[in-house]
Amino acid sequence: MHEMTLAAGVVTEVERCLGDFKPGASVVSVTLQVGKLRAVVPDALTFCFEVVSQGTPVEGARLIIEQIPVRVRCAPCASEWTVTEVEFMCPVCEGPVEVLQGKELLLRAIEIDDGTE
Amino acid sequence: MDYSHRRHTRDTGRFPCAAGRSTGMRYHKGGHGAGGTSGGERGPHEVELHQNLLAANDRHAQVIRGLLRAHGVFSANLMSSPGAGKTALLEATLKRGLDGFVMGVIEGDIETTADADRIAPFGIQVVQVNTGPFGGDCHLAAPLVAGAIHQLDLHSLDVLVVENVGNLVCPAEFDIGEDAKVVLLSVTEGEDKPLKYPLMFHEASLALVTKTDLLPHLDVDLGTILANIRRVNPSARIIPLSARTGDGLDEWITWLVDGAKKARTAQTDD
Repeated sequence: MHEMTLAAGVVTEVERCLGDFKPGASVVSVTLQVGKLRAVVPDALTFCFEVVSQGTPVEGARLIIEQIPVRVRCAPCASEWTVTEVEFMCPVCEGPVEVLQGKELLLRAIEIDDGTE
Repeated sequence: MDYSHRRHTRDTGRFPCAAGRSTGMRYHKGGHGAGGTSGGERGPHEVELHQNLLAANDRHAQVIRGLLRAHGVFSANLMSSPGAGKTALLEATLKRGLDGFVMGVIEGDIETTADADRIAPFGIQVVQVNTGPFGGDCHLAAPLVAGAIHQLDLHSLDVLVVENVGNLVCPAEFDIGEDAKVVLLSVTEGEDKPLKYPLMFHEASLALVTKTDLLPHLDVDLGTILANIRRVNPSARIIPLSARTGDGLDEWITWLVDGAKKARTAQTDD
């Protein structure tokens, strides 16, 4: 259940950033980027976020999870492709591949309503 | 309201939070879609953060890495499902010895000191870390490991093995400042586990296939297990072994000793 740890981290970071806005500012939404390789279950993370954010200024914010597909590159072939099956071997030369994306675990953005322009 | 239309970018200096400073937080004005007016618009706006959620953990991991390197200690993070034989491997390793190199152990579990109690009779430095009873964390994170490392006398160690909490998913997520991630897979777990839990096997630089003495009693094919590990991680070193019979143990110990030698040389070079 690493989703609970991640959700707690998200709430802590968002709360920290909220301190930079006017008192009473509310968080409308929180957007995460999560690579498919991270084995994060979006429904579980959303549930944990709701639980962990209760009683904090982040409570009620919508959690948006942008899933990032796994893209790899084979250095010898210089070919790139999106991994759909769990296969990190080049189909041409059977060499190891480098992961270009799919390991992300980012707090990408927050949407704030503080009544200002 | 259409928030996808972003036109407003402000100086990042207004936001003193760490994310803004380190990553150049961008500030976008929203709420000016179809219903917006030309001036005095109000409403929610988006702030771009692009902050690594594991940044706090990674900072602790870097401190640990620096500390271990400064002391010339080679470290391995041992990960597997519960019951794959991590502690049994450590017992067999300590029984056999590391050709004069000194090993210390950090034992990670949700609860109990059972594993540390098994290692203690060997008279080495061992610290038990518990992530907490009744649903404690299913993995070791760097801050917890940092606390354990401060209880060790690093001057007298050559190798530090951290036995992570038994779990084939979450421990792979967290850098604990180790030199190498090692995954154990016992033959009784079946051939498909590398494909079902790819991150763990992808991240490991060494895969140990344990309990090979049980192969004659099982309907599993060692070749298929090895092939599945290679599909997920073609560059991983793989060692099949049995802590019970000692088969393959020498290769694992040589791997540890080589690591210890490299760490010692790197320390001398600095």
